[in-house]
Amino acid sequence: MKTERCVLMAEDDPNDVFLMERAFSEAGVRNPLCRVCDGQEAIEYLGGEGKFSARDKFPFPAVLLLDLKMPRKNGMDVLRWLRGTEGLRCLPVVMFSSSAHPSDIEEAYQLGVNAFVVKPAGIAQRLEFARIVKSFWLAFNELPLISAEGLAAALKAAQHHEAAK
Amino acid sequence: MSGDQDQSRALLAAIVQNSDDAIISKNLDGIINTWNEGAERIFGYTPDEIVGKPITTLIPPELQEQEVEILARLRRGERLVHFETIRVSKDGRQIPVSLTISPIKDNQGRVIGASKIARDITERKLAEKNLADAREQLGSYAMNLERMIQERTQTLKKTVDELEAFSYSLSHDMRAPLRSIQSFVEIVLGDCGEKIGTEGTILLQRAINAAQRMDVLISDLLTFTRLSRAPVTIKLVDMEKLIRGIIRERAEFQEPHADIKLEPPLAPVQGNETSLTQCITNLLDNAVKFVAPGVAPRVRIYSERRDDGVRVWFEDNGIGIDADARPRLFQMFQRAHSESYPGTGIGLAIVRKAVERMNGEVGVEPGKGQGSRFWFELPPVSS
Repeated sequence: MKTERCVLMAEDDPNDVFLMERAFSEAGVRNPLCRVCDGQEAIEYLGGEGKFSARDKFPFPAVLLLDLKMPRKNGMDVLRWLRGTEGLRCLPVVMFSSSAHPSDIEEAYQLGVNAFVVKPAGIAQRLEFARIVKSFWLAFNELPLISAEGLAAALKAAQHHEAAK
Repeated sequence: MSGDQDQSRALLAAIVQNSDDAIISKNLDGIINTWNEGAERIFGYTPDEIVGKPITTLIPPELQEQEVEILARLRRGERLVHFETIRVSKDGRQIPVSLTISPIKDNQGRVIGASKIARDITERKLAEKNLADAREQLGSYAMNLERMIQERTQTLKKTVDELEAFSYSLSHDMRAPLRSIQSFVEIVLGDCGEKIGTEGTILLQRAINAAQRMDVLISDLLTFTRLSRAPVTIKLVDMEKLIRGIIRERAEFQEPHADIKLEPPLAPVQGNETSLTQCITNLLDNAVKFVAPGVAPRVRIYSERRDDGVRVWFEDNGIGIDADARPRLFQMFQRAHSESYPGTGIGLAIVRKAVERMNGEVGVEPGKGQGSRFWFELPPVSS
């Protein structure tokens, strides 16, 4: 079910987490907002390692909000790992940064990010962002990794395509 | 008659005898016949000691074959002029000399011997060596200096790089706490507005405005630092297309907010699109911002071909710039107007930096009547 999937936020600054949670709540997002504190934890969560293997407590997210500058593996590291991991690489990712450095933007997109957003400074902008995530990514957008049969068929088609090359 | 001849012979003999250079004569077997004072002084032998001895006495062992060749050439009637070589004195010293050897002929024109003038060139040789040494030292100093300059330039570059990276990193990182300040104050205002009352609301709003201004400052600083560090690729830019695009991007640059017009044709320039976009946007932002209250901003953009470039003019109807503010206008944090017109003081520094990175120049003139005329000049497109 869509609403069971959380929105995972990888962010080291507790203020940014608090403010985003508030914005999501005000926007009326029903999905829970889960949080990890750094890149390493993000990878463990997504990979279901250690305590994160309990998927009832730590559900696989619908979308990943990924801070760029984090300790212990930054956003680019997580993105690189994610896009290189079978079965997980299709997760939609929105990267966040305090500034729009052209080389950061290009690198993120080269690595396969879905969106790059400068962290909004004020609550109005943040609320707007939360509403967009809710109405686009979580409503309009059809999420991947929902249907087991669909996934099996897709993987099979991909194998055929590879073999035919 | 013979008295005159004797007199002139005596004179010639005296000239030879008293000469500073060694003047020696020998026969074709290489035996020394005459030996002047100069020879005695240079080689140390008295005439008694050396006349009748072979000339090879004066030649160092390793150069003995020279005499064979010299005699051969003399027999052919050849002269040797300023031949530089080494001879040996009585006390065994090696003396650098310059030799001029001429054949002596009898009345029938047969070569019967040779006259040899040897000039002691020890001092000249020493001077030459000192000059060569000095040149070598100079060369090695120059190389050392070059190397030192290179090293220092590298260190300087590294320091500048580090400073710019530091500045960029700091600016970027300052945004996080600023976000918190602005957002949390906004939350308090939103949630507790009634409890705080009108006065408190105004104060908190001023705090929010201050935080927003700081964020714009940081954003400008980031832009400026980025412009300084990013590599800039220069190529042909269609100015008309670029400027029309910039105007289209922003509602503030269009009717009814502003009247901004190009006067075609605008000559293409050698530049960088990103830098030019930044530059022109800032100039237009200023033109639109710095007008008297109630006046609609009006800008005319045109280009002028000059000797070494293309100059693009931005003529506005704004409040103008004082003559004394003009020199420092394009420096960082210079604001020519009071708080009534918001600004970071970095906008024009960004324009200047962008133009400089494209090998151009920037400037401002007072407008005809009122306002200002900003310009930047870029290298023309080479045909």
